[in-house]
Order: sequence, then structure tokens, then C-alpha cells
Amino acid sequence: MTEKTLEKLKILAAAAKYDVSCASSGVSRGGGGALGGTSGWGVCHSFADDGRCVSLLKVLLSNYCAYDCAYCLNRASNDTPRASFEVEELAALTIEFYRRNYIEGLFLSSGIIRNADYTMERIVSVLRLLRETYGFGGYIHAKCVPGTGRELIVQAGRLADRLSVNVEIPSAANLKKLAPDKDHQRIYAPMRLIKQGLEETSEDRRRLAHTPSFVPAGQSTQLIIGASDENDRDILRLSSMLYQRARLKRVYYSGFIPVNAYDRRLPALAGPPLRREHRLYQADWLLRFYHFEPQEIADDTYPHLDLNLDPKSVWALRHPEFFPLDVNRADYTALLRVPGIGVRSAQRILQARSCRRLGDEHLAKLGVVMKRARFFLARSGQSHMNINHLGPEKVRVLLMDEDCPDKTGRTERPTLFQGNFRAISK
Amino acid sequence: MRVFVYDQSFEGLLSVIFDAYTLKCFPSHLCGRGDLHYFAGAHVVATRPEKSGRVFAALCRKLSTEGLHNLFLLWLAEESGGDLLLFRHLCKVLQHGGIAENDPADADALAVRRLARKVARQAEHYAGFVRFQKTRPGFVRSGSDGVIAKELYLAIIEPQHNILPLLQRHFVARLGDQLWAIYDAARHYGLMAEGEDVREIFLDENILHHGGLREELLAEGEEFMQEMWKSYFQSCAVRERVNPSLQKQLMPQRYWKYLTEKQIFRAFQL
Ligand code: SF4
Repeated sequence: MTEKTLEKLKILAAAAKYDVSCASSGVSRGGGGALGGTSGWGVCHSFADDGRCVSLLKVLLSNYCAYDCAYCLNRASNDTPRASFEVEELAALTIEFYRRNYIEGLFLSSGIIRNADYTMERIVSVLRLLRETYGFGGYIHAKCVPGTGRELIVQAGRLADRLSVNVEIPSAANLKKLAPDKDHQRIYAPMRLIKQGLEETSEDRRRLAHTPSFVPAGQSTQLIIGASDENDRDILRLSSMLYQRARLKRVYYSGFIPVNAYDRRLPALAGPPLRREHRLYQADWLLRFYHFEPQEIADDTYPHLDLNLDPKSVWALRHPEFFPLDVNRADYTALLRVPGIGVRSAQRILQARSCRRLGDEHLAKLGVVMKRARFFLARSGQSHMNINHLGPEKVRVLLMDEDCPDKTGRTERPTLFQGNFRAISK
Repeated sequence: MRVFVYDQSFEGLLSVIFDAYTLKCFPSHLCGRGDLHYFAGAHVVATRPEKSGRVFAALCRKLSTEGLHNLFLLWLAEESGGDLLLFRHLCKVLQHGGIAENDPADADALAVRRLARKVARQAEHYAGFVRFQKTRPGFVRSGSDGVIAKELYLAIIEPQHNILPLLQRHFVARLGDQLWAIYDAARHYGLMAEGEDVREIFLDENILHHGGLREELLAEGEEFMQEMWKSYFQSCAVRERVNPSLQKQLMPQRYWKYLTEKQIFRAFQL
């Protein structure tokens, strides 16, 4: 490894940094290798200057690209420094980083070198070298480029912990407009192949003792938010479909960072829509862990998420008839609807109320954020505080006071990137 | 004020519980043998395996697996007053059974869970924040003064809690084919492992330098690899989203001392 590798690393890490879908999930690989293993809980190895968890060596194999997607720095028509790793060079670098505990594994993507198949073959060669020659048992997340065929998906799936095909632009029409070389068909086809592979493996597993693993951490995708005009209702509907029909493990949302300002097809943004991205992540949590349907969060009447308040509180304010709830009686899914009660505190409430009647003094200890929950719970002698007495408008103002991120001096997502990470390690 | 004096070992604490029940006298203070001014009128607990064994067996019957693990975590917390907290909590568990573990009305049970979680979280943090540096060959000598040819990957930590025992299994599973060691510079001991074989080690701390080992002890190419990592760390942040306060919140500065990527002032020379 030489100075040249260092130069490549700088270019190819910078080129990959906009992909946010980088959480190594907690899978336990059966067997593992001589070196490494995924331990069951995801590990953050560092936090970058933007506060994101650094867990994997996230690089492109090459940032030469034959395609010309409007939203991408590496598009063919941009004049930007280019580099490509040799297969051996990248594998060796991964191992060196892993041995020093800098990383949990590799996150590998690439620009389109020549064509889709050739690119995917190179990605698979890196994976194979790591697994078979180096005996590397750490985490590997690989991208599948649009249009990858069955054979390469099967090979990649055997070697990687997670595969992902990025949807990027939510609607087919906008994708065609911004990324003329891509189309939804070429994105959803490999996604379906991965899903098939997962289903076949779990079936084989029932019949056979030793089934080679196939993407044990499942598949994920990424949506770019704000480069095109889809509203939040469309986006959440798409996510929910991806979770239910394509059985994705995660959908990541990436606020569009205004690059290529010269391209008139893109909106003029002052900065990335971080707040919207944050609200989408919260909404996504409601879909996955809080038993919400997408149309409960954003529908035809309210197609956009409220940027000033979290989507769960927004739902609660629109449904005062659901409240106040009695924590000693309400069932689990109802508890989950109360702002200030999370999955963990809801579970703790169930556990604790089996040994005693719960009053206010217990709730805070169980992790309930009373500042938020107080408007929605039936509390003896406190009925003047509940939403039906105060009215949704008043409660909204009181909740916003608590929620305003600017007040604390922090911008956006105090817990989310951390949250993303933890969530999958469950 | 009832004072019990004990040897501040875990078996010692279990013996304290045994004595408390036998004497029907529950201490309000615990102190070590060194705290001489408490000696007058204090009960001195003799640590005996038959006492601690009986108490431990009783606890095993009453506590959940998580409760037992919390016991271990609390012990590693090494927080002042932690032993008395544990003592009070365990007495309640012995009296009321496992239900005392999760009683939301009991401040001690809550404090136990909090502290246990804090220790576990610190161990989780360190599982990520440990940074190994490859030492030059010959850095490690075996007992009979023979030189081990293999290079050692050595990491230095200074944790608040004694989390090294919690890291052991994680790294044994992970770094199976390399010789590695983690040294706790706050407690002056370390663990060295090759495969499943783990030993306790002590280091001459003169070899330490800000941020890790002194340069002359590093393997050839090690500084270059560290430079690679630092460059990666710089390149992977998105400029439009830079957020130092979030970074500090998620990765508190007390961890930075030995983080390779935070050693910006150590100029790199080829
Ligand atoms: S395919 Fe499109 S998004 Fe991917 S690297 Fe090439 S230009 Fe960028």
C-alpha cells in the first residue's frame, strides 16, 4: 500500500459519503471466518464530524461512471477527480482497518464501470477475496447496481451480509427525468431476485441441515428526498410497500444535498432538507415499530409531514377522541400511540403494572417522557391538563416548545442516527 | 451508624451480607480495611468461601439472568458507594425475591439498573472506540525471555469503569488470528490474547505517549496506516452537515485521548 492508495482512498471515500444507508446491523454469521465476526450488536467505531456513526469502511470501488444521474457528483459529465481501487488493494485495506478495530466491515458501492454486469463482477471479486482468501468474517454491505442479473445476485448474496439496490428517486417518471440511464424496472428486478433468494434460503433451511447463508442481514434501499417533487404521502406509501411486499429491512432517507446546481432539472435548495429527512425517519419508525399505517401519518388531506412537530404527536393532536388513556388498562398498541411513550417504556409499563397500580410517580421512572405524555393520559386530579380539556391547538403549542430543535442549540436528529443503528441491532 | 469493614472483594461483599443476616445487624456504611478511622466499634467481616458461596447460591435462585448480570456489571462499575447500594439491593432481593428487582417504587432497584446500564453502555462504546496499534516485532517477550516474532496489536484505554472483562469475549471472537492486547492505563492492567488463550499483562507505562504508544515502538507502516484512517475519517464527513456538538454528544471527549482519528496534532512524517 502506497501514497497512491491514500489518494484513492480520499477520493473514493468522499465519493461514497452521500450514501447514508450505512448501519451495520446486528447479525450473527454462523461460523464466521478466521478473522472477524459480527457480534450481535452493531458497533459504532467513531462519529464523523457530521455526527454520523462510522461503522463500516464506506467507499466506492470506482467513481468513474458511465451514467449521468443529475443528482450525483460522480455523473459522467462532471469534471471531478476520478480513481479506482484494485480488487486486491481494497481487500487488503479493509483487513488492515479491521485488525485495528477502526471498522466493523465494508460498505461497497461503485460507479458504473463499462456496464452493470462488469461493475457487479468487480464488486463480487472484492467480496470473494475477502471471504475466501482472507477468511474475513466481518460485516459486508454491498450495493447491487441496477440491472444486475440472477447469477451475480446469487453470488453476491452468498458473500455479503446485506445487499441493497438504491431506488433513489421515488417515482418512475422523476427517475426517468433525472437518471435517464436507469428505470424502475431495472431497480425492482434485482430487488425481487434478492427477495427470492432470501425466501428460497429460508425454505431450504427448513429441509436441509447446512444451507449456505444468503444476505443474513436482509436488504435495504435509499430514497433521495427533495431532488424531485414527490410528497411525503407518496414517499411513505412507497416505503410501506417496500417493507411489506419487497420485505426490506430498512429504507433510508437521504436529504438531497444540492450538487450540480447548474442542472436545471434540479430544484434550487439552500441546503439539504434535513428537517424533512428527520421527520421521515420518525414516520418510518412509526411504520416499523409503532403499528402505524402510512395513511395515518400522511394522507390526501395532509400530504406533507409537519416539519415543526413529530408525526406521532401530529397524529395524536388530530385524534383527541382516542385520549385520554389509562396506563393501567390500555393495551400495548394503544400505549404506543401516546406521545412520550416509546416501545421500551410501553413494554416496561406492561411489566410493572402487573405488580402494582401505576401512578404518575412511577411513569417517569419507567422512561415515559411526562412532559409530552401528560396531555394524553388519564391522571387523577389532572383532567384540566388533558387534550380534551385544553384543546389540540393549545397542546400543540406546548408540545412544540419541547420539540423545537433550535432551542437546544442542536440542529436536527439528536437521536436518529444513533437510533437507526440501535434499531436494527435488536 | 453501623459500620462493617471488609476486604472490598466481591466474595467479601457476599460475606458482608452473610454476617448481616447472622448478626441481624444491617450496616449503614461499608468501608475497606484501609479506612482506619472507622475501625473503632466497626464489625470486621472475614471473607470466607462458605459464607459467600451460600449467599451466592441463594441469589442465583432468586435473581433473573439479567439481575445476575447486573450484579456483575455493578461490581465492575467501581463507583464509590456502589457496594453499599448493591448490599441494600441484594438484601431486598433475598427478602422479597426477584420481584424486588423491577419494583418501580424502589429507588435502589432503579439505581442498580441505571448504573448497570451505564457500565454496559460504556463497554459497548469501547467495543467500537478501542484502537489497536501494531507494534514492531520483538515488542512482546515470552516468560523465558524469548522474543515472540509475531507483532502485537496493542490498544490503550482509560475507562471510568472496569470494563475490560466485558470486552474480552467480544475481541476474542473477533480477532481470532492475531495477537492482541488491551491495556487499562487507569487500572494498570491489561489482557493479552492469542486465539482463545487470554492472559493478564502489566506494562511499563513509560512506553506510553499521548494518544498511544511511542513511535519507535510501532511496526513499520503503522503510522502510514493510521494516516490512512485519519484521511478516511476526514473524507467521510459530509461538509453540509458538520455538527461538532452532536459528534461530542455521541462520542464524548473523554474517549478522544486514544482515538487515532483524533490525534491531529501528531504530525505525520513519512
Ligand atoms: S450510476 Fe448515477 S448515481 Fe451511480 S455513480 Fe453513476 S451517476 Fe452517480
